[in-house]
Amino acid sequence: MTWINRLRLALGVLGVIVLTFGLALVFNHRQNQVASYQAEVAADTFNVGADHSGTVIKQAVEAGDTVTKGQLLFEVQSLQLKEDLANGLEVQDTPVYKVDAKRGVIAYFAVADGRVEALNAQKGNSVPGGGSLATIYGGDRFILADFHLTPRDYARVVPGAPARVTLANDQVISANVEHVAVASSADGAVATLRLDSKELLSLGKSTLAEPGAPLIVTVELADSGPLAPITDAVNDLLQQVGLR
Amino acid sequence: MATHDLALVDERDPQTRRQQTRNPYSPVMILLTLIATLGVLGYSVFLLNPASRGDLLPYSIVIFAESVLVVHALLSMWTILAGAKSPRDNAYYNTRRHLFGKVASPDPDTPILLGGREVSVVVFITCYGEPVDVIRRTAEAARQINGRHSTFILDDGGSDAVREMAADVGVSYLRRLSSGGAKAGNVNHALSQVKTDYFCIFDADFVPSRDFITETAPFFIDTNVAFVQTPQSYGNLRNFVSRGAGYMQTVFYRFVQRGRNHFNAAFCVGTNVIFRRAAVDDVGGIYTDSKSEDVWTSMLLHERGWRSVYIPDILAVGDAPDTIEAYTKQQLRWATGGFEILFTHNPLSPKRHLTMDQRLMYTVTATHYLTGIAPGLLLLVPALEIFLDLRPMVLGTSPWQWALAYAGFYLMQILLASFTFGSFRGEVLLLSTASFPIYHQAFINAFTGKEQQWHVTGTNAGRSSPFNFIRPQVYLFVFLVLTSVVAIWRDLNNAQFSLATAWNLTNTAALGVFMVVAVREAFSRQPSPARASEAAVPVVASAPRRLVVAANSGERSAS
Repeated sequence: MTWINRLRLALGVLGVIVLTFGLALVFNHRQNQVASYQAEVAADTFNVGADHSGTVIKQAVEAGDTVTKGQLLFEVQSLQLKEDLANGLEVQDTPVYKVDAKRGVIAYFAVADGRVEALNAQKGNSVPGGGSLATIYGGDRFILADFHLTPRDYARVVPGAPARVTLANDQVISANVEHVAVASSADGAVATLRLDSKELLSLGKSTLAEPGAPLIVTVELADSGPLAPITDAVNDLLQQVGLR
Repeated sequence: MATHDLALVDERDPQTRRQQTRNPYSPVMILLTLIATLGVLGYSVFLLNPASRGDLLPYSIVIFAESVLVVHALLSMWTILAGAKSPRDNAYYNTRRHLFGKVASPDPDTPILLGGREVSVVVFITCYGEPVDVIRRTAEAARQINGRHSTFILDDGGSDAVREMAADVGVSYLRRLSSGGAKAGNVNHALSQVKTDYFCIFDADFVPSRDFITETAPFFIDTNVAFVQTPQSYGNLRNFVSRGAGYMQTVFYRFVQRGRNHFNAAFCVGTNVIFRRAAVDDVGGIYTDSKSEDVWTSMLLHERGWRSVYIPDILAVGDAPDTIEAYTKQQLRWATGGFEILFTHNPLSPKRHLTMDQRLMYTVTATHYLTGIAPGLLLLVPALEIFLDLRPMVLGTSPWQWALAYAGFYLMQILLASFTFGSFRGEVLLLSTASFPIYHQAFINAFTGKEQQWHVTGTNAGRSSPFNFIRPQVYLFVFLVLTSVVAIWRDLNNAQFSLATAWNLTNTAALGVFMVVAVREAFSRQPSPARASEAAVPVVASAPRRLVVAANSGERSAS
């Protein structure tokens, strides 16, 4: 075998080793992250409950409407309340409702900015005391994501871990794991992660960030393997040169 | 085994008699072929089922590669089943009975009669730097063929030792000044010097039997028969490469060529063949513009309406390539020739005057070596899953479903092969798995019309290491070994054994065997003074021809 061919062979083998090493880093990186099989934007739910039974005489919103804090939602006329008030019962106004003692009408208001998700009562309906008039999604949005995890990977999900969130339009934002809940079944563990993202909040009322909007969440797992320092070094380099 | 010590009733012992009464188209073989066809269809349904489709990249690779393999397997089984009838008819037997007139035991000087008329035959032995004793063996046997014929050594190696040997054996010797057109040019040159009705061609290492003309010539009573081809059989199956390379041809020579008779598409393989000179003149001589002059000449003859005959009788025994270098060069030459047909002379084009039978068969020939590229693609599929998590099939597909579908195709093919030949040759499977870079290179060469250059110089007394020729295989082996390590690490992490790991380990082992073969060959080729001088001839001699051929092809493209 000639020297030039020996050199070619050696360089080729070296090239293959470098390529395989690069692929192994990609693989290791993927091993250190898990992707959700289901994830969505979630928000706190506010239930507008009827304190007194009665009849809805005014309905100020429809399902899907966006509401601001303090906006009128319903007026419910309650004969029972009117009678109670006439008998000298005192009912205090709250941020949620105001009582018109003369007419025996209770006005319900939105307690937070949000969106009317479910409308359980419409004008003319009668509502029982304690019944739900509407559900409002509001407050700060967050992310709920479900993952299939092996026991080993479950142990590697730590609160505060960084995550990448891909929105429906492929925009990528960052988030952090806030809370981990888990349920095990025959198929393995299903972990439900709650993640917070400042960038999600800054999207405001964009439809991409509406509660229920689909997402893909990729969570970084704690890496303690032999390739961890190398991966970190490569990531640092990529960050430094501006590729990441 | 039931034996007894009774005397033989005739000259045949049971072994011989079993051989003679053996039916190559046994009903069990036909049944197995049908079951194998069902297996192939089952496998196709499994692969094409949209419900099990996985990631696009590996799925496309698998579908492409397996389609090539499946289609060729089906066509090959079809061809085999079509070949049950012998090409020998009444006219053949009649002619053969009177081939030597009233002479009961013919000798090499008995006139050959076709339809009562004496015909002239010449035997050409094409040489190109082979060892003198190899050529001598062939020349002596050629001279001994029964029926009046002249024998010529066509020496493109320009060796004086061969000329002396020819004089010694008593055969004629021809040498030409140029060496254009390689073997085809060599034969054409001889045809311009020697005018006979028929001519036979033997490669320098193919030792013909005495009955060669007796068995083949009678077919020419049909004046449309252009050539009669007999199989290549090998007497040197002594190491891994030669066994792999030799047995690789078995199906082709025992069944495929025989089936192709019925499509009138049996093609010439360059040696162990007898041509009608008029037919070759009809297509302007042996085709010189391809390394696979044999297939091309056959196709041109078929386009002119000539008939070809193949008989499965072994009438010459030669040497299979027994080194990785020889094997690589042989396969590259054949595969390039096949792909050249695909790219420059598509048999399906309406411009060709071929029957539908012939079009199909030549398309099989032109695309056959794609089945050699397919394993190379499939070797990458497990790596895609291991490194990039891309799977050809959806996750839910259980290993058992895979195994069943796979067995339907591959296991049945192996079963069919082992039944047909009595045993299955692992060498063939291993060697063909490791051969894909050759076919890949052939595909590229045929596509670009480039001449293959080996970066080999005959320093070490003309001896070159096999690793000069198998660099891609070495790279792939290193890649597979490293991938296996990652695969095992991955499975340990996931606490789950995966099919990808199993496949990758299998592939690594297959290529590993090939590497061991290469290493052993490299070490066994350490220079020994006695062999060095002998082996120096072919390699040194091969350099000028390559240059000439390369120059020729440049001339062609310029004109």
